Amino acid sequence: MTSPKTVLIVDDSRLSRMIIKALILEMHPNWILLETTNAEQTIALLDSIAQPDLITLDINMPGMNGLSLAAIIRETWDAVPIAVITANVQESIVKKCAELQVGFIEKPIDANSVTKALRFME
Amino acid sequence: MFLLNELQQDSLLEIFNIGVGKAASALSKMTSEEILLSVPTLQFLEWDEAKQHLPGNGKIICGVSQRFDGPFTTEAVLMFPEEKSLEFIRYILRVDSLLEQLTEMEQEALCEIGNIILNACMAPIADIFSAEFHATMPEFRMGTSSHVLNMDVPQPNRVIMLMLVQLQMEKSKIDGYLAFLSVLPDMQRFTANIDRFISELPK
Amino acid sequence: MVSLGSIFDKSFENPGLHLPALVVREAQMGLMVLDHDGTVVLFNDWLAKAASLPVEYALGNNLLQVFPGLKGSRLQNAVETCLQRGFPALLSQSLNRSPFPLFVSEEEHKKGVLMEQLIHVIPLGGGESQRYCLIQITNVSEAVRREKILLDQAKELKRNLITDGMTGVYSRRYWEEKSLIEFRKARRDCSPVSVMMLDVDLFKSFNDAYGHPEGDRCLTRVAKAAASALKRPLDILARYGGEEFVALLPGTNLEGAAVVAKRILQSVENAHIPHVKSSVSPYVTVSIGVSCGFPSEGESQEAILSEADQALYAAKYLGRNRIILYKEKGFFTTDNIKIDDFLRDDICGITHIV
Repeated sequence: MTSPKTVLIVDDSRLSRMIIKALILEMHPNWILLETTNAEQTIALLDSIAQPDLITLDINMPGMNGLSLAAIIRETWDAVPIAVITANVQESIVKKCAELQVGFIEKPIDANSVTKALRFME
Repeated sequence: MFLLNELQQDSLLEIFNIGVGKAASALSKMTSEEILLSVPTLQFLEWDEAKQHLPGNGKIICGVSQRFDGPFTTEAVLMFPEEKSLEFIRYILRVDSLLEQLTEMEQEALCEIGNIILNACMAPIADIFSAEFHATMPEFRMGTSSHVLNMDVPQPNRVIMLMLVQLQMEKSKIDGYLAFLSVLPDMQRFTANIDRFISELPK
Repeated sequence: MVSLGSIFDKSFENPGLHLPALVVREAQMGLMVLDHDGTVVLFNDWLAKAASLPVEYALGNNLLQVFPGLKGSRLQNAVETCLQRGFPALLSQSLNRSPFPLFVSEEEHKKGVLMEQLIHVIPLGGGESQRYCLIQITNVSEAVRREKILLDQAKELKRNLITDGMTGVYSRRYWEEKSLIEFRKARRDCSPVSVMMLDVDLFKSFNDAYGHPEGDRCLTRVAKAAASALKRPLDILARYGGEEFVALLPGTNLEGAAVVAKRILQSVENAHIPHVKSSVSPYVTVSIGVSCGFPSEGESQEAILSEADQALYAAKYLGRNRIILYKEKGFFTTDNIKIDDFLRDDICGITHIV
């Protein structure tokens, strides 16, 4: 078994968090999964605990959107791998993700998309 | 009014979210600019209540609507305040705004754009439900938002499911709404469909 | 798979089919049906005629074989979506210029003028493998033409509001609208605005000598010459009435305006419009009055315009074909020579009487 890693899942939809969690745990039952539902919670969490090995981010959330949050995370915790998982598949969004050096993964979420997200840790 | 549990409601929003993402992508390609999306809202309302929750404040709205019939029936509408619809279509067609009303050709062009966006939106939703939706031709409608959403004939004692997302074009600042309005005759069939979707998700 | 193409022949054997077959054949719109592979199984006479293709040529062939130009088009995409998902599509004339190579008549065909089309792509039947796709094509060429006429008329109307129909420079109405905006802007930015009044010298004698039609042509040429001397896009020359013109130069001080006025004077004279009755020059000339103000210091638009008008009268009084500047409550030539107060009273007197 691989050494346990910590993944932070940021999504306002409980369903999305559930699916991502279930898929990761299926592959890595001993990993630690954290969840937040908005930008404020996420920053507070990052401030208080050690940096996770991966952050998955939704874009369309109440309050600050995922891309702005990614930019903030990049400023302070520049090394943490981030994977944006979103239904917003506009080309400009894909481009912005590339500029911020965060991975882009299209919803709906399935085993393939989660495997892709986990690859951003390598 | 609680008709769905939190998980069911969440699922429904997620499903629509995926459709709206595709719709925004189609619109973004047509306008060559980013479409800013609001967080979608989902409400279950009584008929009269629903009328008060429609966007537009009683102002004149222009919309393109299509009815999709499948695991559930929904009136899907792309709508703009009247003056924004002029701006929008002339922005896409790249013509000067001279007339204060949409011409016939402009109405047809708006219908086509609505058609592309609404089809793009409903295609992934049909995929998720592994079902076919029968769709009507896009129709141009102008009037109050309740007219545009085909709510002129009252259907009391019916539950309305209203999903709204606001779209704004990033540069030109033209904004409108995508609205999905379903009159739910059969809550059981509807929730059964969502539950089936949930049951197929990884646990 | 039954080919619907031969439906008409078969319909004689089956009376129930005869009427629908007749309708399809005689309909005044293009009707084509594709099966789930995209093979043409129905192609009506209207379409065959407009496409100059025999019905037999289309039937049994793939849509893209019959119309190779559709490859990669939005129509192809719409047909695929229709066959796969059962979603209908509408292709408007404005967003899709004549997708099918169809012509309204043989004459138009020879000229290479394509028919303007409104296309509906309609799914028929359910289930992906049994679904058909009906393509319905309506000729909207007349409607497009009508709309173009309507738009041209609207454009013309709008143009007439902005420009002076005869001389082609801006209209007085537009000048008034625009100067309101520019004065407001200048008040906010604390910038100067210069105003110029121009008048064609001895225009009445020109009309007497050459007649009114020639007088109109003269005004047009003067307007053109004067307008060509304005170089910045924000500067506006408008016809004020009769043979009088007015110019607005935002963000320009009096010295700058004097330079422009000199250019106008020169440009008009260089146009060499003969004027045998002129006592000033063998050619048509103008007189110009210039004034400048700071709206931010409380100078009103009316006041500055009236000062320019007084300066124009001074220019006339002093012999025409010249520029007079209004400053420090007095009149000056462009060489900065002050005109004495006695003369000034005289001019103001004239202004009053006129």
